[in-house]
Amino acid sequence: MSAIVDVILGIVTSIGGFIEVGSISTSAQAGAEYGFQLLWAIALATLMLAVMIEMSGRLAAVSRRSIDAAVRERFGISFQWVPLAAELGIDTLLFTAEIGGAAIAIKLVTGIGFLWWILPIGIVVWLVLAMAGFSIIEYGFGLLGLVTLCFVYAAWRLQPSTHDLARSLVPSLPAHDPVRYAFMCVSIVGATISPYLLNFYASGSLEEKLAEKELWVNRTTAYLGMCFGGIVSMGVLVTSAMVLGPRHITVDSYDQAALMLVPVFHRWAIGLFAASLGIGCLGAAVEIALNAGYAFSQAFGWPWGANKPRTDATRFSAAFTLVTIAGVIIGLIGFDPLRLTMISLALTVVIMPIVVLPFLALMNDSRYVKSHTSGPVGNAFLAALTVLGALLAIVVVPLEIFGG
Amino acid sequence: MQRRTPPAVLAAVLITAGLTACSSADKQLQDAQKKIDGLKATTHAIAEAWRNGDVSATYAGTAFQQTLQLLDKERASLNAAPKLLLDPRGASLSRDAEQLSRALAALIDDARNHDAASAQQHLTQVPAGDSP
Repeated sequence: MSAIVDVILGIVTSIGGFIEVGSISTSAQAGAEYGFQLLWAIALATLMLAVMIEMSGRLAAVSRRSIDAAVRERFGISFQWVPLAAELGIDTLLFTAEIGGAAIAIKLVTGIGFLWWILPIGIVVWLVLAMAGFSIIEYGFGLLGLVTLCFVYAAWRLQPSTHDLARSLVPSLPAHDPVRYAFMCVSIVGATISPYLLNFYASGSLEEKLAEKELWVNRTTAYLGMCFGGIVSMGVLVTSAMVLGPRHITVDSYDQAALMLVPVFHRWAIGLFAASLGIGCLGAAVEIALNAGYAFSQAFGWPWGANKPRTDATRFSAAFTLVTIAGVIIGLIGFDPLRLTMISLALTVVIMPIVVLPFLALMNDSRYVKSHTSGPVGNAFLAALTVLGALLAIVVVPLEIFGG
Repeated sequence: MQRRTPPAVLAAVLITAGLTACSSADKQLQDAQKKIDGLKATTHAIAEAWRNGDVSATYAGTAFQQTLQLLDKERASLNAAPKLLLDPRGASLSRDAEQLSRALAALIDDARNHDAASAQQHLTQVPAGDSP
C-alpha cells in the first residue's frame, strides 16, 4: 500500500515539478514561431529523460551510490573533475536563469523590476535549503507545481486539431529559418534533460532509501511521471502556437509569453502564468543548488544529505551556499533572463556527453548494477542521441548567438 | 612562382560575394520587419487585454515598457547598419519603428494614469504588421 502511495505521489510531483524556466521559454518560443511542428522534439527529449531518470534511480537502488560518487569511484577523481566542473558551471548558469524566472514572475504581478527580487529570492532558496528536509523540498514544490496544469487545460480548451498534433509528433523540416529551428530543437532537449536532474534523482532515491526490490516503483514513477510531465510542456507549446502564433507574436520576453493564457483564463491569466513560472523556477532553483551540494560532497567523499542536520554536513551546506551566492551575483549583473536561459540550455546539450557517457558506462558495469545492466540498444540510442545533440549544438549555438 | 588568379574566377568570387551580401541584407531586413511586426502585434494584444479587463494597468505598463526595450534593441541594430537604412525598405522600417516607439511611450504613460480610453486613441497610431 505504501509503495502504491509512493508511486502516485512520485508521479504527481513529477508532473508538478516538470515545468521550469527552460521548458516554459523554449516551448513558448517554439510554439509561437513554428506552430506544433516541434512537438516531436519535446516527445523525444521526454522519452530520453524518462529512460535516463529510470537508469539513475536503478543505479542508486542497486549500488547504493549516486552517479557522481560512482563516477568518482569507477574513473577516479582526476577524471571526475571534467564532468563535475562542466555540471557545476552549467548548474550555476541554470540556477541564475531560474531565480531570474522567479523574479520575472513576481514582476509580472507587482510591476516592480525583476532585479529587485533576485536577492530576496536567493535568500528564500537558501533558507529552504538550510531548513527543509528532502521530502518537503520534493513533494512541496511538486504539489504546488500542479498549477502548471493550467497550460494543459488551456491547450484542451483551445481545441487543437488532433490530426495536426499527431502529425507533429513525426520530425519534419521547417518552412523557414532552419538554423533557428535547429537551435530550438537543441534548446528543447537542453530544457528537458538537465544533467543535474540525473544526479539529483539518484541522490533523492538514496535519501528516500529506495531498495533494490522497489525497482518497479522507480520504473513506474520515472516513465509515467516524466511522460505526464512532458504533456505539460506540450501544453505550453500548443497554447502558444494557437494564441501567439496566429498573431505573429514571437516570444522575446516573459511578458509576451504570459499573454498566451489570456483567451482562456482572462483576468486569471497573468496570475496563473506568474504562479506557474514562479513556483516552477523556485522549485528548480532549490533542486539545482541542492544538487550542487550533492555533487561536490559525493565527488570528494564528504557527508551529505538534505535529511541530515546541516551541522553534520557543513561542507555540503557550504557547497549549496556557494552556488546560491554565485547565482545571485551573476543574476544581479542584470542579464536578460530569457536570453541567459536559452544560452544555458543550449550549452547544457554541449556538455551532455561529458556527463551522460560515463553514466552509461556505469549502467553496463555489473559491479554497480549487478544483473540490472541496461540493454545495448537503449545504450546505443542514448549515446548516439547525446553525441548527435552535442554536435548539433556546437554548430547552431554560435550561429544563433552571432547571427546565422 | 606566383600564380595569377584567372579573371573569370575573380569575377565569380566577386559576384558571389555581392549576392551573399545582398541576400544577407535582405535577410536582415526581413528579420527586422518580422521583429517589429511582432512587437506591434504584442502592443495590440496587451492593449486589447487591458481594455477587456483581462490584465491590470500594472501589468500593461510593465509589458509596454518591456516591448519598448525590445524595440529599442531592434532600432539600435537597424541603425548600426547604415547600408540597411539606405535601402528604401530599411528607411521605411526605421520610420515605422520610431512611430511605434512614440506610441509605446504614450501607452506607458496611459497605463501609469490608468487611462484606458486614452490608450485606445494612442493604439490607433500603431498599424497592424506587414509580415505574412
